[in-house]
Amino acid sequence: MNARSDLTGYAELHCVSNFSFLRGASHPEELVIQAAALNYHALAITDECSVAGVVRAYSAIKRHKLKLKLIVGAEFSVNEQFKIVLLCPSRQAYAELCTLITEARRRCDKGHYQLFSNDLIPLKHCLLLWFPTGQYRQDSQTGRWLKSHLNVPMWLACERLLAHDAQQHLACCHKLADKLNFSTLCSSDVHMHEQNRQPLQDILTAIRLGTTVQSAGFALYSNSERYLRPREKLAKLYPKAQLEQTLEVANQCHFCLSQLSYEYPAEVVPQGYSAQSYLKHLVELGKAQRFKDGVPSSVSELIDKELALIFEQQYEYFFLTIADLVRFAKSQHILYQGRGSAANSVVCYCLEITAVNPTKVDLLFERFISKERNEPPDIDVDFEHERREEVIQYIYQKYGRHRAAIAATVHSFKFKGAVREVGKALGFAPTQLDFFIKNINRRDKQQRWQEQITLLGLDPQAPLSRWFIALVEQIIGFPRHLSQHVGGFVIAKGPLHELVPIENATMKDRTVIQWDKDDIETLKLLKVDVLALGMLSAIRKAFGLIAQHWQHHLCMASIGATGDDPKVYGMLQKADSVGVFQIESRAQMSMLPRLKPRNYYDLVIQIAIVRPGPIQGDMVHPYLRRRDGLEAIEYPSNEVKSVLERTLGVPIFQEQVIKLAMVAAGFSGGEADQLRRAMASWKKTGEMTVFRHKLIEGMTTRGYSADYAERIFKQICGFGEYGFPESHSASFALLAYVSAWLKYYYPAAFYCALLNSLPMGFYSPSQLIQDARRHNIEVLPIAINHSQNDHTLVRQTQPNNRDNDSHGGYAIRLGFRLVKGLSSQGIERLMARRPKDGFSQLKQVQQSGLTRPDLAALASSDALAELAGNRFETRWQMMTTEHTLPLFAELEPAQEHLSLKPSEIEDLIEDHQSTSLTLKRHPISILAEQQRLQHHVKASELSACRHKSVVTVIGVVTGKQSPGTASGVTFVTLEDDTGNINVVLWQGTTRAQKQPFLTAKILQVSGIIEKKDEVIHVIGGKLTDLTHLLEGFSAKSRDFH
Amino acid sequence: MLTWLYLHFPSLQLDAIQAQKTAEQNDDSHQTPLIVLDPKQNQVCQLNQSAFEQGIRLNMGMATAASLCADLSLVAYQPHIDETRLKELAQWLYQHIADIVICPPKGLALKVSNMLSLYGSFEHYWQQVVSVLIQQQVTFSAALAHNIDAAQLLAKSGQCPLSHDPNEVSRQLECLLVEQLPLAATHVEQLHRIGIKTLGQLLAIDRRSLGKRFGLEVLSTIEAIKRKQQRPVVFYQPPEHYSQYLELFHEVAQAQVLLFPLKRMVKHMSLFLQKRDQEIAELTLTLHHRDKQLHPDTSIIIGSSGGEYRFDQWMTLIGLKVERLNLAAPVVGLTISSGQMLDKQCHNTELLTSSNSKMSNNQLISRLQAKVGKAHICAMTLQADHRPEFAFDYTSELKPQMPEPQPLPGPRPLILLPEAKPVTQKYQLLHGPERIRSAWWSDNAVYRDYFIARDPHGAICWLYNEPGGSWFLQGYFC
Repeated sequence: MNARSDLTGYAELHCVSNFSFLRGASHPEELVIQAAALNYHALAITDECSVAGVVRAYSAIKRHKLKLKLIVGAEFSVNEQFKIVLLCPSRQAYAELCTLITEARRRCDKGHYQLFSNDLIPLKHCLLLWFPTGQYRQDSQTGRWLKSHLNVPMWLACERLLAHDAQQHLACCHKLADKLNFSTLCSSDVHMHEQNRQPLQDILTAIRLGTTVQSAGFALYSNSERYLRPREKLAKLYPKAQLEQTLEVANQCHFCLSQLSYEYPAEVVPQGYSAQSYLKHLVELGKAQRFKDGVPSSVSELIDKELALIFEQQYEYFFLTIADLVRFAKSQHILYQGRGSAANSVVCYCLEITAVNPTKVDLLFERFISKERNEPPDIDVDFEHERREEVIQYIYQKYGRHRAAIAATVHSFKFKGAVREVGKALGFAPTQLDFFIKNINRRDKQQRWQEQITLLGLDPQAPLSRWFIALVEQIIGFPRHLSQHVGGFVIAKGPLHELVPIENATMKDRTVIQWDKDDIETLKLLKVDVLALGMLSAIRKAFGLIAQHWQHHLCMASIGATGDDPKVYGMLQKADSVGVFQIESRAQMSMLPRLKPRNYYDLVIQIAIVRPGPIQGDMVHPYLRRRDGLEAIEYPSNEVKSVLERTLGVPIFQEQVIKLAMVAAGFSGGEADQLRRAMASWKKTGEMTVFRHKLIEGMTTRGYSADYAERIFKQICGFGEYGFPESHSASFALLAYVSAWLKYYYPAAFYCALLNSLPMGFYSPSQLIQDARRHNIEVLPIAINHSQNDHTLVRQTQPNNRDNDSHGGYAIRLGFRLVKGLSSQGIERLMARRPKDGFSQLKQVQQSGLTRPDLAALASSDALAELAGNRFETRWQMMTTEHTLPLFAELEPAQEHLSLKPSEIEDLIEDHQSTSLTLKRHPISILAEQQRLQHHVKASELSACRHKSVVTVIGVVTGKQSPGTASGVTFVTLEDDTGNINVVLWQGTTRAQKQPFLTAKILQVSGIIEKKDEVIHVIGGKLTDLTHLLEGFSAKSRDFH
Repeated sequence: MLTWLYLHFPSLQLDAIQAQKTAEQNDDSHQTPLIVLDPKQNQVCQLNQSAFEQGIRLNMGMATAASLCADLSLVAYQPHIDETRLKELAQWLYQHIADIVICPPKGLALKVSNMLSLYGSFEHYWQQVVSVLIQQQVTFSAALAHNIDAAQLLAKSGQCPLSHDPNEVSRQLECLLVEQLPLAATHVEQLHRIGIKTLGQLLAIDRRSLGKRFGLEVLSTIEAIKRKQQRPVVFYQPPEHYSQYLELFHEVAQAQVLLFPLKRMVKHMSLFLQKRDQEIAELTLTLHHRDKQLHPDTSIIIGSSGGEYRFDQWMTLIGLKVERLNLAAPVVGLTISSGQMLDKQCHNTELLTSSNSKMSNNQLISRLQAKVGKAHICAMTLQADHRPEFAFDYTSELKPQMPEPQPLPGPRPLILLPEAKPVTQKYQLLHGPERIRSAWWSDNAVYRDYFIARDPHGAICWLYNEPGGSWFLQGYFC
């Protein structure tokens, strides 16, 4: 027997993780790994009034197969007077704890809690540890109260942390235990897994108190004893009996998180049905609806197979819950679309969760829901962004607030926050920290930030600088606070607060649970994602306009059912996709002429391929070459062929990567699932290295070349957190197709609906309107007697000659919603007071009860042009209140005219200021006419220029983008009166000409034309800032980083 | 009549830094881009030529400025530096020019009309002003106008050449942009939106119509610019100091003898202070010797803790210093000059306290400091620091009310050795360990286990050992 086994066993029962925000200095994972390494028998994670960290600890124990018992508990400060820990021996105790935490949290603002001693009285099942303060009189009062009022087993916990008063404290504890008849045990108030986290713990304390470590004084702990101490050391510090008592308590704890079984809300199944029979019933109904001409036998078979799988996995309630939500949305005419691993099934098609017709696109349900991969089914439902709240309210109303809550999102320290807060806690000047933050380029792959920061003036030799760098690295990824997930709901059968604590979110009347989506996934709870999507609002509005003006009643499924329309794809192949969902960005646009989508599945690929994942994994070019027949398609094996065939042998979707790991490297379903999770966060956690060996070895033993295996691994890493799943892309592709179809056949309705759904998408109103006009849609200005709040369609008096396909004859009348500074109440009042035949005098508008700022905004927008003179004069008139008083109402306004008339450029500037767009001439054409620009090539003329020829272009800067995927390259979009010009600037160019690059609003670029397929770029050389030509011009460029 | 010359100093803090750098390096050819940053707005508020050349502009956000120029130095704006510099400039100019008005934070207004008879012409006057400013190495812009507000606007705009033709000045004023006027941003925006861009356009509008729409603030701003007569202003007065020189009738070789003439001088000073209801905390006594080459003047600084004006108090303090003097050479003259003049504080004026025998704490401290030197009188303070040697501190900054000390973290010895000594004998450990591991961020990190112990003589001591195993004695409990 070695010496170690002579030691008494130990269970640490008091340990906070970094989910006790700004207190704990170790991740839950680190704590359990270290506790297991020290041969602790058990570890209780007892975060302060929280169980937010326990799931991570639980999953780490499972993942690393640790021999350690995890105890769930929480620490509380009661009445802000004494400290206790509650531990959960059983499921009932766990429910008690969650309820108690919920109570204590719900009475306070986000992030705080308040627990009163009376809250403890109802406890029946928890175990209680009490930590005396060392003030005997006060402690004996507390102890007496605990003994006489509470009905749970309790212990007095002694903690020897080698503080100055350790001996008195210990004596006090013993006296209390004696007098009040408490059993004693020992614990260590653990705040970190290793002693060397003390600096970080001090920094966290300083951040919490808003001070620096130098001046935090006695608020910092005096030593680093609050760590997981080796058992040899504990044996010296504590009597054997106390150590044994910890084991005794641990042995009473039988609760494990795996016992949490989620129970589905029962009300989705009506009386007389079982969940299975009801789901079957709904699918039958849907089948008849969806397949009016009879259900093909292949579809019937597929449905049976899918239902069998659903029943086997017991997911019927999940599908029914979502079916119920979309039924509500449908009844309210809220447009929606499901996506995710299970959404693209025939069952979901029949339940009308998705409008993607699976028979048209040959998607296999099994591809998305897989028994062996052991993932819970994932269905996200997007709703119209302006109406999602109605769906959320429906959930609360149907299930009650005690049964439905939103999942949490854990906000962690990111680089910038880490630099700022650690720097402040170390006493660096805020301006210096700002300087570091603004000048460090985290994308720079050549130079790590640690090197860059020394170039910015941080002395790398100074000890404080070294601490700074080390602590910033340590704190990144530390949780900071919980906030609400974008739309993930957890709905339970019984009270949710017996499953997980609920706390307040920042938003009024919103509550979040203490777990995030990973935790929920770990515990196999189901969540329903209720998301908001702007494009759905736009599509619904377009449908509305089409029904109103053309009497055509469309829906997404019906457009999807028309099949792949070559005319619509023809438009997309020309990169004519402004406003089209997902494929309107510049990067997407430049891919369209190369990929030339011809059918629905091409769109699915197009959406997924222009992503950082495939780009960084270098999958785009091989795919294009193979598609063009320039490169042979080879598969190293039939298994690989089965996975990659539909994407020509190149992995493009996240699902393919996972499947590849399974078929080629022999990963089990569970391992593949771990790989999927590791992929999402490998940059943060570096967990991928664990898989590298396994993947490469797995592949080589199965006969793949090491080279091929290495390439696959690189592609997986490249995918990283940006890998796009096919199951989402398939749903997005439908929205892309529907929006493209609308753009082609009903362009006026399409642009009008888009404009009415802003803010959304990629383009500003100005850009959308210019695109509309380039498509021969007439756009009419805002006019006091003709505009509504929204933009509207009006019959054109003289229809343009348009090709027969599109439904022309309508112009867009801009609405008042575009006028900056005009309140919605003002618009309402204006609409209510507008006479049937319109206002005939300015005076009437003034007397319509609008406020002075509203009137001024209206005047500046030139909406009053038909009643009055120029906008300067009108605004001047609108600035007095005299005429609104009844006494003066009949008087003619005094003759107080301004003699100022706006010039064409002033008009343009005013247009931009009050509506952010102009229908008048483009600034570039005004400047050109005034002969203030040198000879240049217009956007529309670029296609006639030769490849590699030298050109000068001039335009308004409307976008700047430096994607992380292209090192150092910036894409600038210039706009002139004929269209957009795509300029590519290399790092050298931008570095040497920072001033024009960073600040110009009107930019002249001399450079060389690059043409490939139908994609035209100008590679910029000399940049000239011409902003001074238009003083006061304020076009907003949209900058992406 | 253009009676006011306004000098605008856009970058006083930056100029001060540049001047210092130039003096240190003796070379200003290599100017690096430098900006002064307003930390509140996070915007550039002063910049040098080199930064300007890199494309940096005033009011630019720091992010943009930093990305335009990689080797940018930046300094946080400290308003008090500008303020002090402005006063100094006034003082320098005052040596040549009367009638100066300080217009904080960045300007001086000079009334030209009164000085022209002295200088003969504006050109001469202007040359004098410029020579002072050049010598002071400040960046400035200047303008002449009929009142301070107008001159200030022109000077601040920094675009117009200095003119003393009234018509030209009017024209320059009319060209000013509305955003250059001291108007609220909302008003400027409103004016732009009705097409009014310049002061000229604004002045052309009927006063009443304008007032109806823009209210009093805009009107009064315009009035202030148009006003022919300057509003009453407070002219700059150099600060008063007490200074008195006394030539002795005969050379004095013994310090004691100096006390007699000093009595008269101090009495005079005391009267001076009393009349102004002021007091001083410090005075300089200068002893002048015959041969200045051989024996430069001896200066003695005498301080009182807290302000004092009374003759006998000062006399006592001076007496203490002078008695201990060894004169290097006979004295032929004496100067007393006061330090900063302070408004008199209310001292204890209780009706029935007998004053002669009692000394206030302040007085006691002053006397002790005068006797043994300021550095030797200290107070003990406690710092919130886990490290024992940093938990106690001495300060010679004595204030009448010392703050309450923080409670000690644990049992601490009354006598702490200046430096811990290695342990050389046997001790009996009584209590401990108390582990202190702290201050990893400093050069004086500690990692120690402290014990209370008894030495062979029975003294209760404070010992610690370090991870290496060595033991030290750091203090004694009494």
